[in-house]
Amino acid sequence: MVGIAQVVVQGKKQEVKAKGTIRDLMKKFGLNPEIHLSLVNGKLKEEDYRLKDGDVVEIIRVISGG
Amino acid sequence: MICKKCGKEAVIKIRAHNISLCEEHFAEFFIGRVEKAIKDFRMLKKGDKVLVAVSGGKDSLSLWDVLTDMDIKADGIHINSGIEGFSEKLQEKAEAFAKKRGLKLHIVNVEDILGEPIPKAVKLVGRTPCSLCGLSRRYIMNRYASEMGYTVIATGHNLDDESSNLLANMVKNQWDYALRQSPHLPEERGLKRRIKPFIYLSEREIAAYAILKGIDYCEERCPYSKKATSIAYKEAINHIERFSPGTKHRFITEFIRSRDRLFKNQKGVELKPCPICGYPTASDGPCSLCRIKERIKERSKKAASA
Repeated sequence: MVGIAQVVVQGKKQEVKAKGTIRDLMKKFGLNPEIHLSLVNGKLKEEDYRLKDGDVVEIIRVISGG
Repeated sequence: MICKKCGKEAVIKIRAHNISLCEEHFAEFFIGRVEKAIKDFRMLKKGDKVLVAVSGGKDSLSLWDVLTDMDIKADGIHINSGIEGFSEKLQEKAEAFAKKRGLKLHIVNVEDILGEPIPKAVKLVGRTPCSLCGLSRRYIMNRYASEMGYTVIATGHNLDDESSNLLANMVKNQWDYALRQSPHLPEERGLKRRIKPFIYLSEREIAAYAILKGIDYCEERCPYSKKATSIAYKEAINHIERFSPGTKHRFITEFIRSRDRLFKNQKGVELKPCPICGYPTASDGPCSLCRIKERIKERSKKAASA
């Protein structure tokens, strides 16, 4: 059975099926991996990380400007 | 994915270098890129007194952190723009970092120089907030570095900043600006030497470094930067980077390498000292900042008497 992971993208929290990788998640949300980093349960993880039931994924946009 | 160097679990994939690295080897890679930049562009000389421009964001705090770890003694300068609800948070982060690492930090308020904080000054002079804030910062950094005897100013400008700036300058046909773009701007007629040791590092790599090192930086974006076009250029160049890794690096480094050959007949801007403050300026009269200060004074007076 596929579990549930929580994803925080640009401050918005939502639930997704805990399947696939962070790369798949970025694709799903239309995010460019060159300007985003992912924290899983507070730890920096690479895009190939496979989601597990109960994971809390935070996708951070890293570009700033002015 | 595993670390290319040791086989442990990787924390980051760097497509431009086609490598995945663990925490330890990423830190090694990061310091190596800073060392390479300093060496390639001869950024530091023996006996240099370094002043780091510290905003309180990830780039400047990571720069101060890595220079300190590399035993390069550097003091910091924080410039408070007076943007309510934002500037105080940045200053807090800069002060907390300096305290934690036992480093010396100078604090300067834009208001003390301009006569007004940035939000009020913007309304009075009708310039965009980013341009007025940038102009004030460059002026203050240079003035304080000169007055306090620093020989070089180090800023957290990185690969994303420099490549997207170059793209913007080309799109806008601003060749004077493009030709002056460099990770190492030498001292000239009153302008202090400026260096950008993060020229080989992307914002993503810097953010990863800050997170892994536990650097407590301000994540909040300046309320005025939401309308900044610089973000659009960063997104555009990163869109190309996604499909062609290494584009940002090639774009900026190849430009720097070939510009002397391509633009050998192009004359640079001639700088003269401002008759009011002595700061170098390309104009025949007072510098931009002195003109703005005058306008603020006039308009504040007018508003007060209305």
